[in-house]
Amino acid sequence: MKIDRSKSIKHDQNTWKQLVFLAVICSAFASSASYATYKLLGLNSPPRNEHTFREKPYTSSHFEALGSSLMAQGVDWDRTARILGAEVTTRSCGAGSPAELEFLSQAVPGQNNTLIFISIFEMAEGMLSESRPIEVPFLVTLQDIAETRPNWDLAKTLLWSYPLKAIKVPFPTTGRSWEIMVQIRDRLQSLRIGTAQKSDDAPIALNAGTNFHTENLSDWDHGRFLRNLEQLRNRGATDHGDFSGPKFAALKRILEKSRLQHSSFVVVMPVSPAYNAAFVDETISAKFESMLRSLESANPSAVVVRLDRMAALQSDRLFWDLVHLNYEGQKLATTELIEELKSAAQKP
Amino acid sequence: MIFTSLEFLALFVIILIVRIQIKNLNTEKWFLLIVSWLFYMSWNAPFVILLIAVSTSDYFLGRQIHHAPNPSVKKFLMASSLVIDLGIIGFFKYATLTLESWRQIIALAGIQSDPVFLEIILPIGVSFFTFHSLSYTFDIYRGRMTPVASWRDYNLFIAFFPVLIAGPILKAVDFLPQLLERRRPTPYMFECGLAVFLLGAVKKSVLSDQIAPQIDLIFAAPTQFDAPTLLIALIGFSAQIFLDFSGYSDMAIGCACMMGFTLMENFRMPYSSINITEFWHRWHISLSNWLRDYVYISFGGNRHGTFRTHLNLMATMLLGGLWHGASWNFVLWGGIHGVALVVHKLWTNFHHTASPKPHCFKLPTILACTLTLSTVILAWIPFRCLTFHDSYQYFLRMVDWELEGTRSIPIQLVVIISVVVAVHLFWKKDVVWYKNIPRKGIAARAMVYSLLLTLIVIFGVSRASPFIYFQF
Repeated sequence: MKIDRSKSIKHDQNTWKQLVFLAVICSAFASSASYATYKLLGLNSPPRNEHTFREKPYTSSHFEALGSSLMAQGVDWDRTARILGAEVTTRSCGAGSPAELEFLSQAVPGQNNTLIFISIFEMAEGMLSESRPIEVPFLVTLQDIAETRPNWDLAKTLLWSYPLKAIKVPFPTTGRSWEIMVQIRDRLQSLRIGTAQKSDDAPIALNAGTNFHTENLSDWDHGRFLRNLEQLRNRGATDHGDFSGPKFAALKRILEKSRLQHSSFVVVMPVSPAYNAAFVDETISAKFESMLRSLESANPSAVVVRLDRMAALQSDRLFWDLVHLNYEGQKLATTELIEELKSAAQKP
Repeated sequence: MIFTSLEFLALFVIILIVRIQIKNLNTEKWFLLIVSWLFYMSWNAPFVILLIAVSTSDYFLGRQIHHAPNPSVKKFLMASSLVIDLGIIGFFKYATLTLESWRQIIALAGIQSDPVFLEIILPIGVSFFTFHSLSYTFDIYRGRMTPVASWRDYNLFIAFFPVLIAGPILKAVDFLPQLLERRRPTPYMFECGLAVFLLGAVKKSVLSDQIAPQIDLIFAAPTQFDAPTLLIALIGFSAQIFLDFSGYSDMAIGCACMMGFTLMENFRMPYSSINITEFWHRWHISLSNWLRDYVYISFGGNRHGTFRTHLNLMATMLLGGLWHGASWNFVLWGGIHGVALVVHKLWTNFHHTASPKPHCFKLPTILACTLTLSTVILAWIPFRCLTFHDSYQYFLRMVDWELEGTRSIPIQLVVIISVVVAVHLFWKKDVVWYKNIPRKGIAARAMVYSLLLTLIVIFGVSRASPFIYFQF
């Protein structure tokens, strides 16, 4: 029997065309579903937050506070602005480390006081903010990698976050499964009990503010506590590195730039004692201290405020999750910060 | 570079595009070989030398075995291949266990010595590529195949990147003939590959990775948790290891299929087996076939009476257990399966009854399935726990129904267990899904693929945990 090859080739070509058609249809469907989920579950929160607090009459001084949700929730900014009689602008992003803060800053030379909020949690090299590829230009990341030589895994993660950002354009839910699961569970719970109730396993800072007044870490049941620890471990909280990677390089650059300001402060926010017990051993703590010392020696004009050393804040009762201060904790931290800022202002 | 990572997907697309452009078969094989080596080097670059050394030694030994002038020389050369390959696994994988066990044995005799800590890094995939290679020398020794002419082809067989790290374990007789001609996928084959790859990605990144942290947490300190938590975690781990490993195998099969190569299936609904023998025909099929062909039959198989058959079966399963890792826990796991297989053999010999029909919801089938599944699930305790002591504690707390301890049963664990149970209960277990779906109409295919893709982009975990079988 003679095989008609041209017929077979034509059939193959048609099937390939059908496959391409299928790929387009499926991608379009998945993209729509992804967008619908993104909108329905309210995941489209702005990647960065900006608030200005002012109380008239205020002096001409202006404070720019840069940080993550630890900063946004850990300090009562209204009260701070009122007592200092100054205008305070806070700029923050989720899990924001100096790498992102560098690009959040809009400081005007000669007019500002810069407050940079860090913590041992956000300075962990493996703990990457989702905002990183949005805020930090690719070339800066390349430069940082070349300069600081992080381990290969971290370098890879940093570099691949940029193509991932591109994938998030058609599929905005990519890589956000944990938040989605938590949101779905919350919706289901709210359907069941009639009121919105935040989930036990809500990712850090996602439900910021909701549990702020009511919860404290020491009331958590052990299962919830362990699951949250595991979640943080999974997000890279244990990968502290030497605190000498791209985050440290960015922090040095911010301080370099802020030399042109009136004054600059590095505020070290506390994390809960439970977090420290789980993730921070003596070696890590020593490396963190050494990083701070090297910052101080390189920038003698910068004031380092150690809220993490405050004895009064060393209690799980003052945190609503593993790293965020609750209302009681915020009151104590705010008082201390205001005192520090005042005393720094009085110094010649 | 795991299959669900962006870098692998990018690399794979590049491979597919470049391969189409290459017109010459030899160039194409060199290209695939170099890509496979680079893929291996992305894990640990220096060990690529070990990979090439194993391939080269067995390539030459295979030729020598074939041309050996008499059986004793043949036997000697085969033994050399065994010594080299098993020696490599033994050194990298079992040196510490052997020395530590020896220390404990002599301690029983009253001779004390310091604990042994050898800083040996385990080359990833060593158990898989040495087994690939051994299948080649074994088959030549048994006269089932002639040696391959090209060193490059043999290296490609050993290093073929989809199966290099965690199988399915290739047999030379199945794979080497595929290298003799240019392999180009037909649209049907490509679609099959894509479908099974997508399914594998769903199993791994949507299901397995979603529950991995919860299960790790519980198995890390089982004594902290109460019995219901331990029970759910154990069932959860049974689901996780199936999803993780069969997901990896699916993706490997899918990659190969999209390049025009055919690999054997590695999993076929194992948890719906009605007896333990059937389980091993459905679980890690490539390993069980390998153990049957090269270990069990080498021991004598069932040719020397009932007692020897059972002994051979037991020995094969103990070795199969040990293959998984340097821990007596794995030997215990293999032992449990060995005993179960022997008991099943005795039962069938004694009763001479045919096994109950699968997928008929009658009492004998339900009982047989339940018994098999319970044995398999309980055997996962020593497999997953870190030490004998942990395994014992885990088992004891469950049996005593200890209610003191932390209760931690996350909802996603229950949901994913339910998904796995439902699929095993209601899916026809011998239907190869990915081969059937491309034959359906375009609307049905669009629906299935859209669903899989949507699951990945919505529920896929981006920070993937390594595949469980990478450690073996």
